[in-house]
This record gives sequence, C-alpha cells and structure tokens, in this order.
Amino acid sequence: MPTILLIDCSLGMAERFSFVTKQQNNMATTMNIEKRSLVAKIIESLMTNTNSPTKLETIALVFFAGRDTIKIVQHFTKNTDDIIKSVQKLPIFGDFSLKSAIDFAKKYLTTTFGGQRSQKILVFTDSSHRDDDPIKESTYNNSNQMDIDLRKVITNDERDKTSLSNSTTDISFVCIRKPSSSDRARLEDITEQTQCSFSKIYWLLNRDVENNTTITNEMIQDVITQIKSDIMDVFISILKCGHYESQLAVYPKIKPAILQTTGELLQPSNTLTVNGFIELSSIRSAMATSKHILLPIQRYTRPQPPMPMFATKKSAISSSSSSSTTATANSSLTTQKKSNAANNFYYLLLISLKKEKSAALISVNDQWFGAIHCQKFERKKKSSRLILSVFEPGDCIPWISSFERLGPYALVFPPANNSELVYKKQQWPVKPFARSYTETFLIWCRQNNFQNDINKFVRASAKLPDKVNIFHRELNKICRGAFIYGLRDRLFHLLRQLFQHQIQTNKIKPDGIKYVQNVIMYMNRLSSSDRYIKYEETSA
Amino acid sequence: MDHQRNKAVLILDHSSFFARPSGVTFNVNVQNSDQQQQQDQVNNENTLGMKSLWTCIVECVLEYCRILFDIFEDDALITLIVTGIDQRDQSSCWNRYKNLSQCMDFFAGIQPPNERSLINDDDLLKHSLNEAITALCTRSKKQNIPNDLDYTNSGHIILFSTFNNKRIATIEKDAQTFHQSHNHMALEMTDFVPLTKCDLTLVDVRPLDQPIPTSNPEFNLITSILHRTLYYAQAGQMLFTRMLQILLKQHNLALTTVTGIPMKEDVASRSSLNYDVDIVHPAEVHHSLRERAPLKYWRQIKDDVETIVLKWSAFSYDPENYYDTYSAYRFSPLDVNSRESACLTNFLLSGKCVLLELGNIPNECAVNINEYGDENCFNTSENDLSSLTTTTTATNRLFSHMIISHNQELMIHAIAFGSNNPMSKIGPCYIVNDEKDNMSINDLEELMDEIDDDNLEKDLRVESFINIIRTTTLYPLETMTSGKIPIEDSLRLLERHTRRCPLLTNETILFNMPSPTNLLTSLILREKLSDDDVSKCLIALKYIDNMERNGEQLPVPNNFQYTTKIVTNKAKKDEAYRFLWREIEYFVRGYKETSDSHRHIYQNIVDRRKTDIENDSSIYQSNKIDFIFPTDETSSTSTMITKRDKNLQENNEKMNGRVWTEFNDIKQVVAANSLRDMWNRKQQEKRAPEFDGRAEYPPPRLIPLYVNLNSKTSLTNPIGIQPILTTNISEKI
Repeated sequence: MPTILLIDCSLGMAERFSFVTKQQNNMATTMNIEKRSLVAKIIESLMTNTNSPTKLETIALVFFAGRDTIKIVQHFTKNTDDIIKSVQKLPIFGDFSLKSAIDFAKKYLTTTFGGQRSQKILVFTDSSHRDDDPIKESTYNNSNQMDIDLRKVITNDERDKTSLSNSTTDISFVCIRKPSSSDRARLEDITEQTQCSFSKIYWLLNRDVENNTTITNEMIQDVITQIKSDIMDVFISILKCGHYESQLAVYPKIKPAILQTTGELLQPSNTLTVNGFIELSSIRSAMATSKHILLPIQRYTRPQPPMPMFATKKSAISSSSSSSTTATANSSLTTQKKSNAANNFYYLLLISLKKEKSAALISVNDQWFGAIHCQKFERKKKSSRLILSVFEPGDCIPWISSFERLGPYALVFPPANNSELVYKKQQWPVKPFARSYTETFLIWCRQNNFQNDINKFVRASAKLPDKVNIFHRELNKICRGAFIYGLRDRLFHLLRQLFQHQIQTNKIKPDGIKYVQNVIMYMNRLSSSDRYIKYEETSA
Repeated sequence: MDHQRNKAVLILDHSSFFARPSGVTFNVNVQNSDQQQQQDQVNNENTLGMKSLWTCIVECVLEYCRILFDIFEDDALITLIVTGIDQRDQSSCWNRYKNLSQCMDFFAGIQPPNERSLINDDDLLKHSLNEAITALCTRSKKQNIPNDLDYTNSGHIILFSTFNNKRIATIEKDAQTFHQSHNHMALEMTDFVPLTKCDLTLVDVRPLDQPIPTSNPEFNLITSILHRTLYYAQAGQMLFTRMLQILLKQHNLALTTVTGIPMKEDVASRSSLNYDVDIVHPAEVHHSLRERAPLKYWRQIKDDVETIVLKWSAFSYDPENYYDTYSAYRFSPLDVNSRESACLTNFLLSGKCVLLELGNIPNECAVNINEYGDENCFNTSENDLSSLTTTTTATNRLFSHMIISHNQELMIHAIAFGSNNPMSKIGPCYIVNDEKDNMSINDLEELMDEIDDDNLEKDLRVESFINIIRTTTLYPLETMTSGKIPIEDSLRLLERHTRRCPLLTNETILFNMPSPTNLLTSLILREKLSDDDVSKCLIALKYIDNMERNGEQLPVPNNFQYTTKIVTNKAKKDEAYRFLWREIEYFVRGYKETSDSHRHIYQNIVDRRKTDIENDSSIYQSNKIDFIFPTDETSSTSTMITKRDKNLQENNEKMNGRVWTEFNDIKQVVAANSLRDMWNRKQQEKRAPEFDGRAEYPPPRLIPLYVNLNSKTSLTNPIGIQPILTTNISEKI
C-alpha cells in the first residue's frame, strides 16, 4: 500500500545525540550524531529486510520544514534501495509546520493513487522540545496558532462522524523522544484537522530519562520491530474450501469491523472459508470496505536448487536430481514439494475463477463476508493474483438481500428426475417493485412528456385500421392520464374536436373511421363519468 | 440507509382557487415537420388547451413521488392528502402508497376542484393539517416497535395552496397546536411517536400571469422543532424547479449530469452526437469527489438547481470486471420519459456498466511532482518509470463513479479513482525464509518470476473444480424451508465434493478413467442413490475388474506421482491397478456413511479384497497443507497457528500411515542409487506381486524393513520439515 515517509527537516533535527554501536568484538563505539542521522538510520534499517522481494509496499519520501518548504525527494517506488539512498543526506531548514506537510502528503497520495483505501503516512519528527529552548517553543506556539482554525470547531461533531467512517489515511509518528502528553495531544489534534486517522506514536527514548541521551542500535531495532509489525505486517491466513486448504498471506491486514445491527466489534478470523461462488456478472462490483491481495506463501530454503514455482516441474526435477546423491538435495526437495503442495489449491482456485469469471464468496467471520476474484496483474504476461474484497459486516449490499439466503445452484435449480446437473447461468430474481424507468408511467411534468404521449396517440389514429391494439393502448393511457391530472374536460373536448376535424379532412383512412367514432363516443361517456373506465373494444 | 428516513406528507388544496387556469398551455395536435406546422397554425386555436392550477400541482407532486419511490423504494414514506377528501384509515398511513401507480390511482379517483367556492375551505385545510401531523406521529413499518429511535422521528409537510399573511399566521398557529397536542398524546399512547423535527413547507402557487414577490424562500422558526418555509412559484416550469429544490433539500439528494453520452442514431442527421442526462441520487454519492477537491470544480447551475457534471466514458462496459467500489446508491433519471434517459436506462438495464469520468483535476488540488521534487526523485529504477508516467497522464483520465443496474435497479457506485494501482507490480508469492541470511538476488528473481497462468493450469484438475464451482454457484432463494439456512447447504455440498477429490491430475488414476467408471465418481457424491444408481456403480466396479483381468492399460497420467522405478511393463500395470483399487476404496470409504446404498457399494469393494483398508490418511498428498510460518514476524496469530501445527505434527508422527510411506521410501532409496539401493530396487521389483498378500497380514502389521526411517528423516531435518505424510487437517479439527 502506498506509504509516505514524511521527514521533519526543521532546525530541531540538528540536535546531537551520542549513539553507541557495538562492534563484533564487543567494543562499543560512541558517536556523536545529529537527530537527522538517527532518522536516516531508522529508515535505513526499516527499509532493509522488509518484505522487499514481494514488493508489497510502495513508498515515497518527502522532506518538510516550513509551510512552503516541502520537497519530494523520492517519488513512489517499490525499490527500497532508492529510499535508503535518498535518505542519506538530510538537509536542515528553518521552520516547522506539520499540518501543511500532512496536507501536502495527503494531496500527494490522492494525486498519485486517487481515492484508494489504506494509505499511510509515517511522520519522522521529534515533537518533543526541551523546555529551555525558547526558539523552538515559539515556533511551536506559532504553528499552533496557524494550525487551529476556529471556524472548524463548530462543525466538529459532524466531521468526527465522517472522519471516522471515511478517512482513508492512517498517520503514525516516529519520534526520538517520547512526546509529552501535550505534544501528543497536539499531534492528535493536527491529525484530526487534516481528517486522517491517528494510529500510533513510536519513540526511541523515554522522556523521564532526562540525562541519558545515549541511543543504541538495539533501541532502534526495537522501534523497527514495532513499526514493522504494525504497518508492514501481512496477515497469514488459511483459505478453506470444503476439504481443500491453502495458506496465504493477506495484504494489507484485514481490520476489525463493526456489525451495524448489533454494534458488535468483529475480528477477522484466521480462516477464510469459501461458502460458494457467485458469477462476477451477478455480484457486479459489490462495494467493499477494503481490498486485499492474497499471495501464496513460498518457503525459501538455503540449499538452492532452481526453485520451481509449481508442482509441474517437480517430477522433472526429481528425476534430474536423482543423479545427485547428496542428502541435502533430497531434503530440500521434500520441503520444496511441501511448500508447493500448500499452494496447489490457491492456484486451482485462481485458474478456475479466472476461467469461470466467477468470484468465491468467503466468510471472514460470522455474518461477515467477502469475495475473492482473480485479477490480471501484468499487461504483457498472463499472470494473475487473487484479490479479496471485504464487505461491510451484515447484509449491506442492496442487491444481495441476504447472504445466508443464497443457495447453491444444485439445490436452487435441481436437475429434473435424477439426471446430471447441467449448469446454465440464471437471472437473479428481480425485486417486484414498479420503477419509473423500467415501466412506463404517465409523467406529464414536462411539456414534452405530454406532447410525446399525445403525438403517439394521434399518429396511431392516422394508421387505423392497422395496429388497432396500439391505438387502444395509447387511448387508455391518455384517458387515464386525463383522470389523474384532472384534465379530462378540456382534453376530451379538444381530442373530440381534433378527431372530427381529422375525419372531415380525410386524414383518417375510411376503414379507420368507425374506430375513431367509437372512441369519440367513449370520450363523451367518460367526461360525465366519476371514475376512469378502461376502453375495451367490446364496450363500443 | 440504516438510519431512519424522513416522512413526507403532501397536502393539496382542493379549493375553487385551483380550478383557475394556470396559463400553461398544451396542444393536442401532432407537431412534427415544419411544413405541417404552418398548415396547422390555422387550426391551433382548436387544439390548444390550458391546464388548471390543479393539474400543474398534481404533475409536480407525482414527480416528487416518482423520484422518492425510485430511490428509496419501500422506504419512501409518503402520504398524500387532498383537502376535503376523506381518507379515514389513519392506521395504515405509511403503507397506503407503496408505489407510484397507487399514487396515480389516488389522483385518478379525485374530481378536479370545483369552480364554485365552498364556505368552509379554511376549515378543510385546518383539518388536513391535523391529519398530516397525525400521520407524521403514526408509526411507520420500521418504527413498529417502540425504541430509542422514537426520538428521531422527523417529517416534512408540504402544503400547496395560496397564501396571504393572515392565512400563514393561522396555519402556523394551528400547526403548533396540533403538534403539541400530538406530542402529548404520544407520551401516553404507544401507537404514536413524538414528532421531534418538523418542516412545514408552504408553496404559494400562482398562475403564470401573476408575478411572484420573491424567488427566494422565506424561513420562520415557529418553535425549536417546528420550522416553516414559504416558497412562491408560478405554475409550470417554476413550480417544478421549486419542487425539485424542496425534494433535494428534504431528502438529502443531489443531481449529477452525465455528459457526452454517445448516441448512434444521430449520425445521419448530423446533429450533435452526444447528449446529457441528469440523474438524481443521494448526496452521499459526491462524498468521494470531495476527497479530491472541493465540489465547485464540477458544479454547474442548471435551471436554478446545482448539478455535478461527470463525463460518460467509453472505457469499459464490461460488467464482468470487478471494480473497486466503496458505496452504491440507487438513482433515477430526472426526466425519466425523455428519449435520452430511456436510451441510457435501457443500455444499463441490458447489463452493461459505465464509468463516469472527472474532467481535469484543478491544479491547486493536485501535487505537481516536478514542482516539488527535483531531478533526484527521478533516479528511480526502471521498474518504477512506468508508474511515474501514468501519474502524469492519469490526471486526464480519472474515473470517479460507475453506473450499473443490479437486478433491474439502477445504481451509482463511487469507485476508488486513480488509475495508478498500488497493487500492481506485487510479486507472485510471499516469501518466507527460515534462515536469517539474505537471499541472493538470483534466487529472488527466480522466485519472483511471474508464473504464467497457462503453465499453472496444466497439472491442476481445473475442469473438475469448475464443476464444483458450478454446483455451488449461489443464487438467492425466495422461499426458505424452515430451519434450513441455504448457505449452509452450499457449505455441505462443498465439503462433500472436496472430501475425496485430488487437486492434481498426476495424483489420480480413478478420476481419469473413461466411462462407465466415471459414473462412480459422480454418483457417489449424491446424497441419495436410487437402485439404478447403485447398479451403475457396481457395473463400473465390475468393468474395472474385467479390465484388470484382460490386462488393459490404465490411463496413468504423465508424471504420475506414485510410480516407482519399476521397469517391466507388467509390474507397472499391476502397480497401477493396485493404486486404482486403493483409490477406489479410499474414495468410496469417504462416503460410505451417507446412506445404506453407499455402504452397500463400499462393502462390494471391500469384498473384492483388492486392497488394504485400514489406512485412514489421505492418498492425495497435495490436498494436504503444510503450514509455513514466517520466522521474522512475531504476530500473535501466527504463533497461535504454529502451536496448532505442532500438535498436528505430533499426531501425525504417531499415526503415520503405511502403504504410501512405503512408496515414498522406495523413491528415496532409488534416488540414492547406491549399489545396495539398486539391489533393493531389484528386490522390490521381484517383490511387487506379493504386495497383495502382504495386505492380508494380520495385525499388528509389521514392516520390519523401514522402521527407523521416520526418525532418521526427522533427525536430519531439524525444524521445518514435516513428516512425509500428514493427515488432512480438516479431519482432525
């Protein structure tokens, strides 16, 4: 998922710390380094050993200081080396304005990725400032004044609601020192103002240890592990379909969700169970709260024979490796086989869904569903991945009234007298409701609506005696309309005049005249009637 | 739509005033070609009619109802009241009009207002007002049980009449008194809900020739919960615009103009090829745009009503794509009977879907990378270059919404717009490495090599799985048999179909068998077997028996998993038959508990004594899953499963099966290829025929040959290696 690393380059980042590295021979070397170098170190170790081979994350690097001092140092990339390279030289600028930086980062995210969900901003700053530092104090005060817009306070309630449900961007902060409670409140406040959701603050040094300004490599490692487990982690889960199982990595993690009807908080279960299948043309892009990529898990082992992706090559390899008599080859072969075996169902599902243009309906938890479909990934090569769309818990998709009331084809359309089941795509039942765009209603609100209906009717009269049915259908429509809109006196009068005129001017075929005369009589009767009576040919 | 919807009561004044002509004309003559029009000009006085004020109001009211019913369906809470027309059954206020045609029937039954005025018109209006407030306090279907939501009961009263200051004052006073008395009543009666918010909208309707004092609405707060708004409108277009404004405001709806819809038939006439359609939908649809930029960039004022203009995009009409959508709302075309709307709705109802495109994003709402970055940020590796270019061009093509029909309902979806998908370029699998050291780049590339789908397909039993997919493709059930949840039937079916079904083609002979043997695999899956079915199965078994006796070749797949290095043809064939019988036994045993007929078939197989029946573990190795866990990640979830996994391993160790371990042993030995191994292999070849007999060993079945092999494998492979045979997990949990 797109992540922006937002790095504070204000003056405060030039503050020095002693940094202790332990050599292999247990000799500790103390270096006096600036905060910005520390940040560089944190990012460097964060970037190494993330799940880089899978290229899950796409990361951009932005430096910020004052309101207008914002610089994109690295555009979104999946190459972690580029990030590490760019972070080596951190400049120092004067000012500090966090809010404008976050606003910028949000805009940057939407420019690049649009309204995607699960975007992240990771702010590297040292929000804590020493009390004896008057310059910084005043900068913070300034930024406070700048940041808080009084007009917005009024709409706070309303915005809270929307920001909770709609905010797509998570912000976390990485600080050198643990921020004081007021600093923390300020960070939360800024987050709220920029309509992001506040997720966490990480820090290297505890605040209470005033004198100890030594930072060790272990401290950095601790923070890195935390950040990684929160942000970069994948969700290992089991996909189950009857007796078939496959283990997969779900990325990003499925977040817990609230079941609206009961207000209950649901956790995603470790097992995604396939409940059945729905054709893509039936599920029709059902709306999801989040999208996740599902990847098969491949075990990487040290002795490296050419690693086949799939069982196909297995037997070929087993025959070729049978000549090598080492025990290691044998053992790696078995592991290999196993990791492949675990993925067989993944690939089977992938290919089948792709061929059938279908989606698997899975349950994430009780009353919580999602759909897995196959998506093509590379333009040139034919390679696909499974994508999981997680729905809102409960029955929240208007055209699927209830997930539990979906039945398998074999039972909904059972084959007649014991024959083989033959699948044929069926239409989903249409909710019996008269919609104005599926049925014709007499809407005469606009001038041309009325005109069109009248035109149809009058033209049909000219065609008589052909298409009598159409003429009568139009007649009934017009007459009913006349009753509904309280128009009958005037309308019938005019129509009678019109028809008489048409007959006189020979616009109506001789054979059609009797139909028209019948209609004139019918209209005569209707105008004195209390209620609308449908015209039927026999009534003439 | 989980929150409660506002109720709406529309009161139409039926007094003599509305029998007056409105000044809006209509023509019954056909107006088509210019030539004829000139001719007809003479006759026009005979074909022109004038609508009454009443007609104009009814037109508007029905349009109001139409839009509400289209968008909210059963939730459109509408009550129509015509002064002086008694409707009595108050209890069913909110169920009275379930759809538009019922509303129309209501008006069809009402005589147009009389031209002679009645004395008590004002009293009738007062009575209707009382009726309206009673209706608002009556429970709707969703409110049938008293709960907390009772205190969010809000409603609108729209009164179409003619007003002067005195009359407004009386109406306000009356409304206040009725409201208060009803709320008092609601405290004592459970049938009533207190009205916590009420908007009284007065529409002063005038004929075209009478000017209106102001086009702006006048507001007045009568009490904190009772608000009055007064609109002036001339009949015709202006009344319609007011009605639309009221509708959008009261029900939080908004307009979108779909622009640039291509129309084929106009090619000949050389007129404009594109046309616009306005659609009405809940205002929430536009929220996704706000994330991007303020709405003002797309806003236009059309006939005094705001609309957001989005472009029709010919990008893709394929509903079989799965787009990233985050919300969906019903919509309805504004001018439903116009040719353009009909064309659009028919297109959508036929099953197509259309993406709507934003024009250009204003510069101030986007980040210009060139402005904020420098050369430095472009030192990207080759991989990212493509994504960089899409960013710059993507600003021109941004899809924000999708319009589609779902089971004949028109819906508008907000989609995650932005064509730069962060999910692209993600590796084909997630790599876990046990060892701490880094992987070499070569290995990584090998692992990350994109797998061609066609390559994958070769060995998988896709066809059979597609059959399972089809059997369990879900369809909504109208009627439910009591006590049965349909989706659980689907789960049961999936369980039954996958119970004994191999994933790979090279693991099975049984599933490759031609007719009539394939009947066996399909019939056994049924829950009930007729006598006919049973005999078919038995015939299939007999058929295999005959094949074996005649020494026919079996359809052994390429790269068959369990072939040992046996060279002679006869031994190979024998082995294949042994495997087949073993497979049949294993397959049918899985279903023998289904019914007596199943058991009967199973017994028949056992009686043939072709195979050893004591083994309980799966013979399809790839159906089992070996859990791999990332060692570098310390999430609680994974450690939990690891524990479970370990338990399983222990279990498996104890109940390791026999038959197929043997095969595996042989394979390992063969692979080693030492002199002793070669000798062993020969022995095995010789011994192959006696395999049958060994199966009849009395328990305990001793296999003295490879007793230690299990422990050896576990010694040489410390942690990560699972035993060769693991049991199907689902069977153990």
